[in-house]
Amino acid sequence: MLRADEYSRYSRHLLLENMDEHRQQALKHATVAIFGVGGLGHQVGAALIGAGIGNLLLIDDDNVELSNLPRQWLFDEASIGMAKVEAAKQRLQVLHSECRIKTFKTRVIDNQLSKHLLTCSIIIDCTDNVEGRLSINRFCYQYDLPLITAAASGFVSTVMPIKPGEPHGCYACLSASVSHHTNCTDMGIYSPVVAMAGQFQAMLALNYLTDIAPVQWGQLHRFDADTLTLRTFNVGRDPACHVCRDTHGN
Amino acid sequence: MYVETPMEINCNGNPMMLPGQATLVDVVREYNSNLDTLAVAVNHTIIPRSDWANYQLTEQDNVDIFTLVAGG
Repeated sequence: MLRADEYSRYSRHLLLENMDEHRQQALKHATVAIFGVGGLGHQVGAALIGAGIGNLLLIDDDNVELSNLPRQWLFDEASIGMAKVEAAKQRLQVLHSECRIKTFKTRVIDNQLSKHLLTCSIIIDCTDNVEGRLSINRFCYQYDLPLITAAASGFVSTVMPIKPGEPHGCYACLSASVSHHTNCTDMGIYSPVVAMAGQFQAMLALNYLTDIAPVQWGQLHRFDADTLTLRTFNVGRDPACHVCRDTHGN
Repeated sequence: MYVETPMEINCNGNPMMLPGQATLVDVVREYNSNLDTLAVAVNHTIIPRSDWANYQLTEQDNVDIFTLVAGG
């Protein structure tokens, strides 16, 4: 049962078609890991804690820099030099004091972090590099954890929900389809584009956790702010992929 | 003598004429010489790079060529 203050707090979501108390409770009991507390991770963290997620893991080894402030709105000038995970936790905890937030200042999935990740309902990949994404993708396939990965550079963002066990391709399959990914240091980043991608990730996570709307696993959504187009593509399995092929046969 | 019939496909929303036996690599080269940065979808499905050379296109295929990004 939700408390009276929870009914009030989440009343606008509870009014939605398909949303109900049980689904709101599901969010309260869920644990979500956010890898990367940059432009994407800020949006995901704020959206999920606002929606009532009960447990968050924040994972990032960076410290806050001045160049983060235009799009990483949980930070302010006083945060510069702090560990991103701690600065973000402080601000998120102000937004929702009941959420249990654990922080990990690392970019390596070691035994300690693994143990916590295995308690998660879903993993959200908000990292800023291909190597990190490949490592998270591999971990999710190894332990059968759903994953929502996203990226943004310049005027373009992509979001892809991935579910091990489904017949679609994984992030490694997608990554193998190009030899070079452009990144923020090549092309800069248009702040609204990364914010939209992070909110898109949060929406897919909420869809999955509440079953309020479907998630089309294995589809890549690509938004281009230059042409104002959103295109969706199926990601098939790469026959040479050693992640989704080796962990799920075929 | 066998004469190859050209075909028309749609590439990023624009019509493109190709030789009848064209593969995906031919389209990507026509579009941009820097293959490294590009991903390709045919009829809304991304095609693994390793399949491009053998992927035979057919009349009226919809090809999308685009970049993938990595920042966050």
